[in-house]
Amino acid sequence: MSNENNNTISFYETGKGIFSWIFTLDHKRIALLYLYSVATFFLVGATLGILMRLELLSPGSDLMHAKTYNQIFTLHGVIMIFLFIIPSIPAVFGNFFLPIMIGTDDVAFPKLNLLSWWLYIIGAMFALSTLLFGDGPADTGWTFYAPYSVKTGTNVSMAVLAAFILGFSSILTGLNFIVTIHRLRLPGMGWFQMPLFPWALYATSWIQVLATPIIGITLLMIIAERVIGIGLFDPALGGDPILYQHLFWIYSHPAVYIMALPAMGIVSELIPTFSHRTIFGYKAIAYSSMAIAFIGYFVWGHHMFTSGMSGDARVIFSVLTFLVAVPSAIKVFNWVATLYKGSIELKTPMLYALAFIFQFLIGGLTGLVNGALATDIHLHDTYFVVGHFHYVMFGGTGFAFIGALHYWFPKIYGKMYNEKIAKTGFTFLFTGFNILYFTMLILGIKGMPRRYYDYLPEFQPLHVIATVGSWILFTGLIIIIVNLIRSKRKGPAAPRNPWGGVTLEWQVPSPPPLQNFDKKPILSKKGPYDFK
Amino acid sequence: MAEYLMVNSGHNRDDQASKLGMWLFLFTELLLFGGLFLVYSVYRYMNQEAFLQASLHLNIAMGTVNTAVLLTSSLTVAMSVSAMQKGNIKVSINLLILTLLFACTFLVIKYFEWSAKIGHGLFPGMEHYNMLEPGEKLFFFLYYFMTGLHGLHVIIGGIFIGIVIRKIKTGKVRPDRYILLENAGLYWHLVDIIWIFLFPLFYLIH
Amino acid sequence: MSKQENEATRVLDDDPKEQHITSFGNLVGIWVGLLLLTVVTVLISVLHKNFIAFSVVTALVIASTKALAVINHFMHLKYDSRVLKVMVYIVFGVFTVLIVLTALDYFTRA
Repeated sequence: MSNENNNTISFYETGKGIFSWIFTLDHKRIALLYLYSVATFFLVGATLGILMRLELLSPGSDLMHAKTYNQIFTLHGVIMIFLFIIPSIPAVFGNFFLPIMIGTDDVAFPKLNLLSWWLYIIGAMFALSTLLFGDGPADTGWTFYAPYSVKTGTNVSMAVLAAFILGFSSILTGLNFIVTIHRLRLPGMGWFQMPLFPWALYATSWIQVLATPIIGITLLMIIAERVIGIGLFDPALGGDPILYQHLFWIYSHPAVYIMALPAMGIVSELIPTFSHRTIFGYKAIAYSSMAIAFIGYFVWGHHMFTSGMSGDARVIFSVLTFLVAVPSAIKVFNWVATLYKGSIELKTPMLYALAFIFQFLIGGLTGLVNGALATDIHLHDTYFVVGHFHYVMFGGTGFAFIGALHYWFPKIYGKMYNEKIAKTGFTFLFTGFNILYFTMLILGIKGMPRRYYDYLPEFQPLHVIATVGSWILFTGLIIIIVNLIRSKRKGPAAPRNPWGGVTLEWQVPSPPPLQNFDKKPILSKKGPYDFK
Repeated sequence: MAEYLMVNSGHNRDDQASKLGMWLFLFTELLLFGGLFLVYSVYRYMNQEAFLQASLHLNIAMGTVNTAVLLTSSLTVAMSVSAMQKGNIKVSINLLILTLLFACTFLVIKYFEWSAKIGHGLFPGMEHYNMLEPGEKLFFFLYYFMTGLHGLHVIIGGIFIGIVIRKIKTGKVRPDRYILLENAGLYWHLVDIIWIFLFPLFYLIH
Repeated sequence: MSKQENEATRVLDDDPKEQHITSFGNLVGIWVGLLLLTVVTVLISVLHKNFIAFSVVTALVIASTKALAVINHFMHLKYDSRVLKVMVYIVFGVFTVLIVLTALDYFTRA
């Protein structure tokens, strides 16, 4: 089986030594650089999360004081958002597979690609440096809401500067992907012969390019404000703090789709492959990606229903928010319709895809509860919101990320992972996840506010359940990671196409050579999901 | 060893791709300033009278001259691209040098404007400034922040054009390969466009 | 084995078929127009001291006209591919909607 790979030299063997990696222009190596950095920060962020859950095991200050708790949830948020989830799928799997899936040998601007990784590392160093000096990391929450972010003595400026640099890195990735998709598709591959993962990346890239600059300039204003103290967002000095929230969410709401859209792209790859059936409603899924990106720009106000924004604006933002649910639902219906009469194979990646649909559904529907004006007043700033976005971000994107890691593991490393252990890991992760975050939804409805290190004794039983959930979840993570590392070392060699996939990456050797393709890629005339 | 060469390699020369990349970058610049224009609009709406009063401190004549200077520099860059396309390398270089001179003129006038304001104590922290109303303070903060950021872009654009001049002289940019010149021009025009909006919003509130 | 830049130029169906060179005369004409518009906007502002709202709208209309001229002629967009044009207009459109939606909040505050 494996000797079909032997006539090519894999991209691991072209160039040795650390410099051949950190200064590489090969999109596959850059993707792996991203994978290792992103995974490291994910573990740091997860550990901070475990610490928070431990503090919340019983009421009162057990492990840490209020300020430490505030700093930990801020750092957890900043790391998970800016260092893990935004770069996760685009920078890792996008970098590795976008060029292969559209049939070319690299992205359009390989040097910018490398630059974007370096900016990521510099930004990460800046973010972590807040731990080392002065009053420690920011304690504002990852949103850096003014005027508190202007007044607090913690290292907000440095954290904000880090976010600025990371934003620049994200812009470069997006810019690169847009040009790549426009210019480098295999001759004969029209827009609608392109697989759905590139489509999702295309929509994502536009958000990265058009929304990120707004947060950039907003964060620069926060720094200027901290340096010269002009009162830009301080109501006592004529400023308007709600304007900060507008600017912040003009970026950060579309950013939610930077996180979610690529995950939807992954699921759109996993479902047809493991159902061995053409995707249902290809065009609908492609268009809905673009629609989500587009409408997603105009719904940011739903984060500000209780901020003092005008009543009319609240109504309009609420209506727009309901609109964005339509294309999301279109995707879910199409995935489920693809399963119908398919020959479903429950391999590990497929389990993650199905878990994604289940959890994304809970995340999406609780999102509508938050998007409706009346219910939001009750639930705003409670654990319900925390539960909701963890269902979307972790239950959605996080699961898709791990699913993609299993799906493409044979292609990236040329080795098969251990299926049994992988399924065990999934079971722990899935169980722990739902115990942890579904409990949060209930806690929120009962009135537990977010971002407090302390709580009323009546909430304790539910908090204990959530914390136990976090332990199960963490166990699952460790099983998954150990299994993948072991399989990379000792797993059996992987064939070109272990899953019977039909997109172009399954036509190249595992792992691919430097130029990706060792022979002319064959395009099916019936589109990208032609299962005969 | 079997080696398949892609026709659509990411390492091929592709001028259209470079141009598209530049435009995408310009979009990000546009929205960077866009965020500031948003802040400006909101605060002007909330402090109409104060913005009017504060704008009286600005010198319309200097602003108008600077607008003309920047528009002319945009013309010379555009002409430089046309000259390069026609093969007139010498004319192209001279027009770029002219552009750089206009850029310097713009910065010098800007320098005199700023130093006149700062001489009057109109800078955050200075005594005249501290006596202003909150709305006027916001106006001046935005004035310094936006024209300062714009000035920074003028400097970056100037450096970009300087690099292109060097590359023309060493033959790396030439009539059959001038995308770098075009991109430098695009960047310079964007700097011009931003000024086209900054000028009426700060100087012409009357 | 190293990845060298290739000299082959890539051409797609949508790319402009032949190079359009804007003549000096055309560029100078646009430049004169831009200067005239600048004079007009300054004059309107200086002469009509009492029409604040009037002046903001006109100032923005004139500025947008100038920007459009720069984009189409100096930046050559008029002769570029259709894809690029669509992108530019969508970006300006999105930005306008951002401004409008934010303004909506402030205009309707009690």
